[in-house]
Amino acid sequence: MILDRKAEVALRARARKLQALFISLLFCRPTRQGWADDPDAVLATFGLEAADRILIADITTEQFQAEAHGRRTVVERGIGRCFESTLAHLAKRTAGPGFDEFLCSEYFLDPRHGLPHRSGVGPGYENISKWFFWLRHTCALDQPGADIALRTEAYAEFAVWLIDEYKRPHDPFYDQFQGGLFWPRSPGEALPVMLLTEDYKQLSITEAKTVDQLPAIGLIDLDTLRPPEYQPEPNLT
Amino acid sequence: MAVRIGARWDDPVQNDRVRRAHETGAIDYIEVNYPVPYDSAPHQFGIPVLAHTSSNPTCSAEGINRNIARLVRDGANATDSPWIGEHLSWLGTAQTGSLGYQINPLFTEEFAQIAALNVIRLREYYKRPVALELGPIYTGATGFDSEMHFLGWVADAADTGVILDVTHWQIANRNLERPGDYGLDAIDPTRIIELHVAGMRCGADGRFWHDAHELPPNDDVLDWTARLVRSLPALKAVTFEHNPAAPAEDFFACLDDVVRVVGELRAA
Repeated sequence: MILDRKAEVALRARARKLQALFISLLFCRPTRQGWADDPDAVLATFGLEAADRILIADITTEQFQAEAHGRRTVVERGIGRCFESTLAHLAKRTAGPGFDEFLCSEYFLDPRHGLPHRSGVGPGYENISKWFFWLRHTCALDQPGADIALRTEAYAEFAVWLIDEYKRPHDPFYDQFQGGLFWPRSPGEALPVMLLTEDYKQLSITEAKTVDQLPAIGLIDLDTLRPPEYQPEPNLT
Repeated sequence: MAVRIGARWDDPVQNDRVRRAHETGAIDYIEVNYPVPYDSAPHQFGIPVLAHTSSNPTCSAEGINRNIARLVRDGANATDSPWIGEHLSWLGTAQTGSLGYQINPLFTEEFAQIAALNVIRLREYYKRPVALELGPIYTGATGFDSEMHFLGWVADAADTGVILDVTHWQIANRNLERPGDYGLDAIDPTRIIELHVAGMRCGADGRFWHDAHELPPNDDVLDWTARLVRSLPALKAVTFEHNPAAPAEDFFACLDDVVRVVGELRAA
């Protein structure tokens, strides 16, 4: 199969738009609603022409709906297994971000919002860390005034996941979780500090001199954990 | 045509069962899904390896992540795999990462061309043949008669082998309300070099079927496997896929079924 470079670049540019639209239709309910209301407007949002509509499967069929439901369920179930208490707490709130917002966000779509996978394949191959960073950002859990109960649940469950990952064969990135992790109970307040040890013991530390020793023995503050800078090699194209 | 029988390997928890299966003659090879978990070395069992991956989005406009391709290539080189199995899929919209299980692409001319280009590049990078597989299908094609016609076109354009996943194929035909044999004639039979066999289940809605590696292959899948083994002129391998977390006794019972349906065509 022969295609000159210029033609291939144009093909990929157009295909990129179709791919982005169809994946958004699969995962993002607001995109589906927009499509139902005015498909041409959604096509234009993704840089496509009205004539491209015939390339997109009919999203009103039960087949498409089954596929979209299944894909959402796989993501939701994975996050639910890790963040059971956090989700229960979120469900009690009358206002706040929902799962749809996550699935429509760059936190879900962009692998740079996730940690490197423990298998060594790079970032974006799991949704647990992406969801945690999305929740921390969206609910300002690392800012003064945060919902402390939600923060405590989310940080504790994510810390357990990080230690689980550390305990399995892992990418060297996860070495930093040896010993455990800590976080101030309330952002901006020095004490108390919550500590989850490598043995999954959760402690509340109230002495400043003990807290001062935590970084010195190699433990990290979960408020400071961010996805590392990622510079992928150029893809095979 | 003599056919070998193998079992898919995803995780070190499967080590004992695949060793036993090889020692007792139930399998001839393991099909290793690369990249493998950190610190695992499935090629060290002394069992021949067929390299496979579900981590390359061969239909993506973004192309193929070089780090993943390298890990797959190195695994295939270390085991001298006769070919590398690849899925016709997307994994997301970015240059890397995965939003979940294999995402079926739009089956259109654009993505057929993209897939052919990506697969040709991969084959040149691997310096080894490639065989292409479809996932289970729910949504119909918009630019081809079906996903099977898309697969046939890409395999011809990129000159690859085909892995016919009998379970995915039957799931697709049920989900899209097509006859059980639909689509087979869309693929050049001389390109089909491997079959995949696994369990499937009907969802809670009672309408749609899904991949279910924790279950045994059903009678339809086993019957089709028996027929295909006897009719495909270039078939070389039948791989049984089983969930690593499912009981070992189920694994051995299912392998017995696969051995039975391959029968006298099993390679000596």
